[in-house]
Amino acid sequence: MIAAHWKNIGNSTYIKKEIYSMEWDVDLKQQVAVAAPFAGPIAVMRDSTKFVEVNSQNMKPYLKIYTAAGTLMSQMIWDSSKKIVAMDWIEKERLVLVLQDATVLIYNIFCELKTQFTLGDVVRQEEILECKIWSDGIVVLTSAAKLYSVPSINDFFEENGKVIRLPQIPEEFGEKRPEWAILEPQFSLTQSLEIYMSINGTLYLIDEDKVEAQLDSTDILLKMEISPCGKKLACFDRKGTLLILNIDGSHSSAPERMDTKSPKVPTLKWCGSDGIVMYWDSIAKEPVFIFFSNGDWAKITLEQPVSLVTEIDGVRIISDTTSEFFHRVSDVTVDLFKIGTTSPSSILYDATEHFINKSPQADESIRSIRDSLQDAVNSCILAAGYEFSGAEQSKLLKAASFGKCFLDSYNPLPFVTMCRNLRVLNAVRHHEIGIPLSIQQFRYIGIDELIDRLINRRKHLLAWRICDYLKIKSDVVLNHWACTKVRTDIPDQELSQIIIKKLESVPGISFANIASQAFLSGRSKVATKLLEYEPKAAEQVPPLIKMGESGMALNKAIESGDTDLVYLVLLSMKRNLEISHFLEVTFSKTVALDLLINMCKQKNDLPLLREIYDIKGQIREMSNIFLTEAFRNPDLDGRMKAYHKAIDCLRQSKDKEDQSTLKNVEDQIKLEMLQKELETSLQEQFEGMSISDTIYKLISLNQGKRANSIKSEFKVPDKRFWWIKIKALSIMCDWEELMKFSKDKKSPIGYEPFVEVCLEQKNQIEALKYIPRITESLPKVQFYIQISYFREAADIAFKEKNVDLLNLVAKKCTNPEVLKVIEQMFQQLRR
Amino acid sequence: MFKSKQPAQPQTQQGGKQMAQQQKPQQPQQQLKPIVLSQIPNISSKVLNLTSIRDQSKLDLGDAISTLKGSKAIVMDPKLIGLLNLLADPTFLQNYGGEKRYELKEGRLDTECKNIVYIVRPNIKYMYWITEHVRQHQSENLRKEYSIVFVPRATILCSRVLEEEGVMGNFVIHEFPLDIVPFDEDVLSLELSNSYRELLLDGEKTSLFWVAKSLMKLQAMFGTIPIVKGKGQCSRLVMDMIVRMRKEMSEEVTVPPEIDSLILLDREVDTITPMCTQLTYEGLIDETFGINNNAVFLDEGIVNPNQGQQQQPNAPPPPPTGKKVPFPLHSNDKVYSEIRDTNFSVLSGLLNKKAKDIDEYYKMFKTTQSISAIRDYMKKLSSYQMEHNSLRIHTCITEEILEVTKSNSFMKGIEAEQNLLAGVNLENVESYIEDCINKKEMIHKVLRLLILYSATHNGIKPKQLDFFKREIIQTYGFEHKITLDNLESLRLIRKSDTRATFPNIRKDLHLIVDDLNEQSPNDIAYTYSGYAPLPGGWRHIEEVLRLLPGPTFEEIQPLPQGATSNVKSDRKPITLVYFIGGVTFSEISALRFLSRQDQANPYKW
Repeated sequence: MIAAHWKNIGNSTYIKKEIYSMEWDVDLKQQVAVAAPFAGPIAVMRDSTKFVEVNSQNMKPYLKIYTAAGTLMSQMIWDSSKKIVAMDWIEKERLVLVLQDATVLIYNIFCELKTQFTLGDVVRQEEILECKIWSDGIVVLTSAAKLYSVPSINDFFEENGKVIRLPQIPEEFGEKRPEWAILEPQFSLTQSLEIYMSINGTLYLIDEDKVEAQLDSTDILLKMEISPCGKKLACFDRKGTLLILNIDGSHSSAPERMDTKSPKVPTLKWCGSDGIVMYWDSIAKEPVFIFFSNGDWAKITLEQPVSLVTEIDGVRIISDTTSEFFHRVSDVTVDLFKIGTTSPSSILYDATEHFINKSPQADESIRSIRDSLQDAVNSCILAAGYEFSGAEQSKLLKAASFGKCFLDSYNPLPFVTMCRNLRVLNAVRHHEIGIPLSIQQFRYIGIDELIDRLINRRKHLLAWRICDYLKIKSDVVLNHWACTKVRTDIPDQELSQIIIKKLESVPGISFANIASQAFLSGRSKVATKLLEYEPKAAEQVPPLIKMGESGMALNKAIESGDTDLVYLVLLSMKRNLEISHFLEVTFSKTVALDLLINMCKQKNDLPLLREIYDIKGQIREMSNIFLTEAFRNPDLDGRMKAYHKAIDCLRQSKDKEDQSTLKNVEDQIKLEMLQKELETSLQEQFEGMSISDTIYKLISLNQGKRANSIKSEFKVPDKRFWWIKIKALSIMCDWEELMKFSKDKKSPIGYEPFVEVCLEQKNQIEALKYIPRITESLPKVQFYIQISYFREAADIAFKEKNVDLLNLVAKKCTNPEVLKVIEQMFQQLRR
Repeated sequence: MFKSKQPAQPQTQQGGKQMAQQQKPQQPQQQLKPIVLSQIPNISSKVLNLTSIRDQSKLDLGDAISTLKGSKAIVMDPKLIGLLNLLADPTFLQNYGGEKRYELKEGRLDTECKNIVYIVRPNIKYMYWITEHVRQHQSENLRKEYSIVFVPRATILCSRVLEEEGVMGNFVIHEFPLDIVPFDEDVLSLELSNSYRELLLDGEKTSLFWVAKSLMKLQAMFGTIPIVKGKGQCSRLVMDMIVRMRKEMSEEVTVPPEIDSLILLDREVDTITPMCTQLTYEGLIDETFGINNNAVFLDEGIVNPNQGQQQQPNAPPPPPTGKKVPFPLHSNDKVYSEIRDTNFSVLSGLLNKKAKDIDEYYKMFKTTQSISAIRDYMKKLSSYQMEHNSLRIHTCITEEILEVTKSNSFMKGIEAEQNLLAGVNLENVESYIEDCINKKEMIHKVLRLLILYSATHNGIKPKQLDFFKREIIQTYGFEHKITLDNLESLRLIRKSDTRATFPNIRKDLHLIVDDLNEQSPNDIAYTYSGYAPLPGGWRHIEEVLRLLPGPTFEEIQPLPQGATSNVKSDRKPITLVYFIGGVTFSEISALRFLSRQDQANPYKW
């Protein structure tokens, strides 16, 4: 039955089958139709190159977008003063229009302008001669014989798109336009865009960096087209010859050619990568359609002009009334239905029919293919996939299912997967949806992409059901649904409720994204409400800022614990709010205020810091800021200024603590002034020294008098002064002076320090002079032990009749003679 | 790059060992070649496999450096250098084109490299420095490519500064999400050295966010931790963040929990312990030399004795060259891992015994007769040689430490600390502190004593405190006014007020142990010779915990669906102890001690 429509071309079988009868009212004699691949939508516009009979219907030129089944999805009036140089679909079913003035407009399937940009003044001035659009880019050839490329249109959506100039075209071409074709980056060796250009019979390969002449010699080419697999280049030359060149580097075979002798240039469209279609719409009365593959060709009759779309596995033929699909029939299908076939799969298929008709022949047939039954089942499953007709699919699947019963162990997965896929495909192929994807196309784009297409068509329910049916995550669908919903005119309250009720418990929903959409659509109340449900603070805060909800943004940022978010809010408030308002909001949150102060300190934003401390009445903190500034300043005058600022601050306070700080600062000023004087009079460095250090240095410089005056000026306690002095003297080894000082008056720190400093300088003789002056016996003994004067140590212990102390000496003593003496002492004491 | 991913071949970690094994054992008594361990420890052996954390970070580091193609100069945040050394050795950076390495400093940057990669923490100060570099190169007409790698992430403030300075466009910005770094098989750290100050003085809570993030990372790897206990305001905030972050995740990893419980502790809860002098071996190395990123810097003569000269047995040691080289300190060093946690008073004994063991072993060679016995002997030789070398170095370190600890001033310091802890002889302590100032000893020592004083006596008498403050400013300089102010606003140093809590805690937690056996310790107090670090006292005494600042909590985290609770129930339970704001080496020793006692494995920060 099916085989009747088959056409054998060479060794392969082809079929042209009707998918839809078109619901539209389009006349392809006067209009151009451009369809997107992968069963995509069709954009229709008046053909400006053709003379049009003006009637009431086409008075105004329209841009209309239809589904593949010809159902109108959207339309807009086109301002005919804008001259279009190219129109085509790119990825994600976006329609690109390039205008003569170098403007690029990008629409979605609802004729909504998604973005626009310009190719630049240079391109506009040079004038576009020809423009080609590929799946994510544009290449233009200008009248100045220069090529410009947009390497990624998608980048313009992220606001970082660019237009680059390609290398200079190697030959001048004069009046004769060069013919060229684009090899998309994913197919090229360099992973960047390549252009095949034929100029005066030489074929060049042009990429972003260089131009290379190709070896293939051709005549002057009038038309070129690259196959969807990126490996073959179809060319049509001025003598009417069709050539197929291999461009994947395999120059093994001579190019296939076909001499059409046609003086007129046809439209070239690949049918998958199997063969090429040449189409002339007005060579004769009726359009001519010639299919060429592997050296064989066939002419196919068409009744009316058509528009052709290359698919990865065939070519879509769209006419005023029908949408047909021309493709190679799969081998499994041929095996099944070829006239006179006896393949196992066809026997299984027949057996199933016998079984349904309760004919005993079924059993016999199954027996005959016992050994190859598994292959037969697999073939039926595969063949079902290639079918568009539900009845035929079900017959094939029934056959497979019937065959399965006779197999002991059969993996059911391929069968189940096929049933699922077909169910999804049949749903989207339905003419109301109008996406006639073949199974190969479906496998190529994948389920995620299909879901994307459905939601872009606002078929959320179907998309959601498919997700549910295939048990995949539906958050994308629901997010998109909600984003679409917020653009409708349902009242605020109701709208928020609908969305929240549906999405609240769904994981992976971005409420922030939906809220942003709502805000863009002027629904700020809904947006705020929805944002409350966003679990991720990092996504919640930025939209709140954008919506001017600073207070709420600040709260949410603080709650998240992510200080970076808090800073984000603070910075934006600082930029957008009145300073008083900004501080008021910030002051309501300690965390935020602390961070703000921290930020001011780090950025050294003193005016703001001062304002904050003023409000908080934190005099001490402010004065500390000035002090820190002073400490960092290497210049005395600068330091003094900072000290005085601190003093000004501190004077406002009545606090005792601050009063003493004030005194400290005044002392410090006094000290630094004194140090400056000392520097001039003594020619020594004093800057940066503490009071103790200054005294120490003065003593070292034999400036005892000056040291004393500093002592009294700053009320240095005697104890510390003595320590400083004996340390300085010992380090200078001025033992005489040290002794004099020790006798000056009674030491307020005792005489242990004297021994200590002498021993530090390893001067035992001097140390010995001071040990007897120590009042307590324990340190005395310890010092004697330390310098190995065990006898003296023992004597003291003995004199004090202190057994413990004597024990200590005995333990440490290394002199055997003294040990004997100690032993005697012990005996005496014990008596 | 791929090679380094395999934990089975950590070339850098065991390189030394392998080298030693290949050495032909000629005569064991010969001068030993120094076998130096890498600073990067092998951390795969213990209960949790921490290697995966490091491997991931290493990959991330590779990506970060590769932001600019070709050879480049790497300019590193000085605070990150040590940390990065724990991840990868210099050859790793070279393999990624890191031709030259510089430390980030204020002022000029002169390099021939055309590409410059900065690896920095997001510190505003650095942004100004880097901006200066760019301006300098521009004014000198040098064309350079710049990239800034922020660790662990870029911040809005840094970006804003770069924008305001008008140099943002010059940089490729990259983030290197390095948060938690394994230090040893049982220690991990975020290495946020300023966190205590930021959290409590500045109210800058960023580090808490990183604590929470790191816990989420650990939970993603080792499963949700079922039980979380905590003490302190910061711990509470971290707990809240974890709960929130779990909510934010749409899907949770369903790994069966490997860590059984988590204890979060604010450093603020116990400010006493860090003020006391650490008395374990490791603690003392830290006190005397300072340990940074698993390494201590020692005289070159100690680590690499000159091999050319045959050292005469009684020859004086070569004079110190003054050059300091890093010596790794971690558990891969067998000798070190045995002695690191012991009290210093028993150290010499342990080292002697160890030396005898090794000596015995060497002597065995002379008496060994049969071939198989010699083979056995050779098998163990390399590990003994390793130990021998390490023993030699540790003996040197110990000698230097003993020099310090036997000094009068050290003993007096310890005495003062113990008097404060016991609450006796306050006048003596006060005059000791005064003497310290008069002698201008290290200011840190003085401040530590003052903080300890405040904490144990609930503040210092106002008159006394005013006196100390004046003395400090006059001795150490006026700049310390700010230091003192900060310490006072943190209430680490304070004037005495209401009744003291420490005496109660001291009593109830039995923090002071009188009859202590330092040789074979039966209480963690051995780590501070009598004072038990507070976290160790965490033994269900909620009464007392309430006396300490901050909230106490205990929560049970519901496991994500599908994560079965622990299957291997026969293993030791693992407890993760997270100190927020820092931990001392002696506290880690104390936890190791507890872990051996209670049969629980603590991991800590």
